[in-house]
Amino acid sequence: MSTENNPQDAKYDAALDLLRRLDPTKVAENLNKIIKLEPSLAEDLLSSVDTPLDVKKDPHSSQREYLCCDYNRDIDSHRSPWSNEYFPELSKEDLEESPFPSDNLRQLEIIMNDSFDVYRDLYYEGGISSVYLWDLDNDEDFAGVVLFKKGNQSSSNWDSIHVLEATSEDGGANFTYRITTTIILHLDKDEQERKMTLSGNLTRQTEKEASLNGASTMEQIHIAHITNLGTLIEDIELQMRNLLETVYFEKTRDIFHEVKNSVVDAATLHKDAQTEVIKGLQGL
Amino acid sequence: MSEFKEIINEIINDAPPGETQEVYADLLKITSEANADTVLECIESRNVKTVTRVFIPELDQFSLVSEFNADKDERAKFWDPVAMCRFAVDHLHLKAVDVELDVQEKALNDAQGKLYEDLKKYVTGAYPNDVATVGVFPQEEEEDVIRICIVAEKLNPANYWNGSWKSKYHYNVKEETLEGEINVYVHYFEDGNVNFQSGKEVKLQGSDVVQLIKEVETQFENELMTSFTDLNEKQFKNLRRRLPITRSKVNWGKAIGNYRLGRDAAQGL
Repeated sequence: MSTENNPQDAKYDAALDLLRRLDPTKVAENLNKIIKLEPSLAEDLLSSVDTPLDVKKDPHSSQREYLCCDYNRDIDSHRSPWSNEYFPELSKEDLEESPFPSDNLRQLEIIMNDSFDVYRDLYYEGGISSVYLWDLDNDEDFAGVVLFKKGNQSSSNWDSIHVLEATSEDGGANFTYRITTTIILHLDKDEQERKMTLSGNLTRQTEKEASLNGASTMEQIHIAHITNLGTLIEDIELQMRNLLETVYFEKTRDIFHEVKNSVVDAATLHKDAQTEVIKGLQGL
Repeated sequence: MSEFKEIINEIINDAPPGETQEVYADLLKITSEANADTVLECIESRNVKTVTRVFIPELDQFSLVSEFNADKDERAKFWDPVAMCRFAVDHLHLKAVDVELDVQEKALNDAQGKLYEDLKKYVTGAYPNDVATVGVFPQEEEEDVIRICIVAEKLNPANYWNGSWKSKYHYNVKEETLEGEINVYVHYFEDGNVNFQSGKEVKLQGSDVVQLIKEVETQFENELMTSFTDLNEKQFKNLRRRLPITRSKVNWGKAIGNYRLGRDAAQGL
């Protein structure tokens, strides 16, 4: 589809460009503003723009918290990965239309939630994780989203969103995993007469082919997928963490120094003074 | 203000330094070309309210637009009392138009001229080359007050970043009080959208205004550097570890449950 020919696509691209420029701490507000300006963009934008994840409690799993995004939403309810139920509860009629993973995929979803919960504990030492899967047309293929959220009231928040697609190659011996990762990181410091915010998001796409290691039973196949996806997401998060650290704490600080820098000035003055001294010496 | 214009206005106020033209183009694509005038109006009032650098091609230098140097009778025109000119502005491209040169009537007096020179000297030392523009604007209605603005901007959209620093001060010569605010905005948008914003309110007393500004701006800069370090070492590091406490990567697969067994055992469960 060419954007020049389709006005709706041009509007959508312009909306994404706008959201890439406006204050990232207000992404949810700005999304609503753009939808008010052009309501026809609502569905496309809500399903593609990442916003900080909401948290809900699952009343059928001891109020255990789970993460909410467009991928586990139906109407105004969100499916919990723990009980596999939608909350607030949907009517019987609505539930007949609600998306659920197939039985086999739900088994994989359960084990993935378990595994990524251990991973979350090891790396985040707190926070919440949730994994949601959905079936694709080809029986062996599937898609899903792996979510992590770690926050500390309003002053620092980390949201990881890994949207994944697993498609079989070579008759099911190998799989291609495509992952689009967005990490939303918000940090702020609010002091008397002074407020500082470092906030935003970075996105990376990764694609990797991996073997199922000769897995044949359903359980073996599930374990192989979790091993492949777990290893991949662990690598991506390590790289993204390094990237975030570089961008947030080096890049923005360097840019700041391009507009205001009294420290470098002292160094330049010092250098100038040295040059003068050298000139003076040379003149002797 | 209509709801439509209010939304446009909020979006424009949110636009990062140096990206107004792109935001303008996006808004027209999302809504309609017919809204160009509404969007431009919002851009104009944002530029004036926040104090913005504009280029004067006739003089090959930058000047400022703000409410403090707007012409009293003809609000769309601005004075530069140092360059001794009056100009209108193409607010979208931040360029002076209809420039009238050699207009003497708003020229600074000797004391104000000296203040400007001293500020220039300070700015040359405290900001990188050629990024900062200083404005000294006496106020007709309040003869004890002088408005001082410093706007520094470095734009590099080709490398996906833009940054600005804006200081706005109100100095009362009689009471020797300096009030104002400093706002900083850095935008980095390669494969994402990261922004760093900070602001500080200023309220000081003293007779040497340049010295006061120098001290408060240097202090703010130093505080920001300390905050960067704090945010990195305290908050960021607490959100997610680089490696698990075991210092090795996760052993995925069936054995992953052992971590939980191990932890429960360690806790005596």
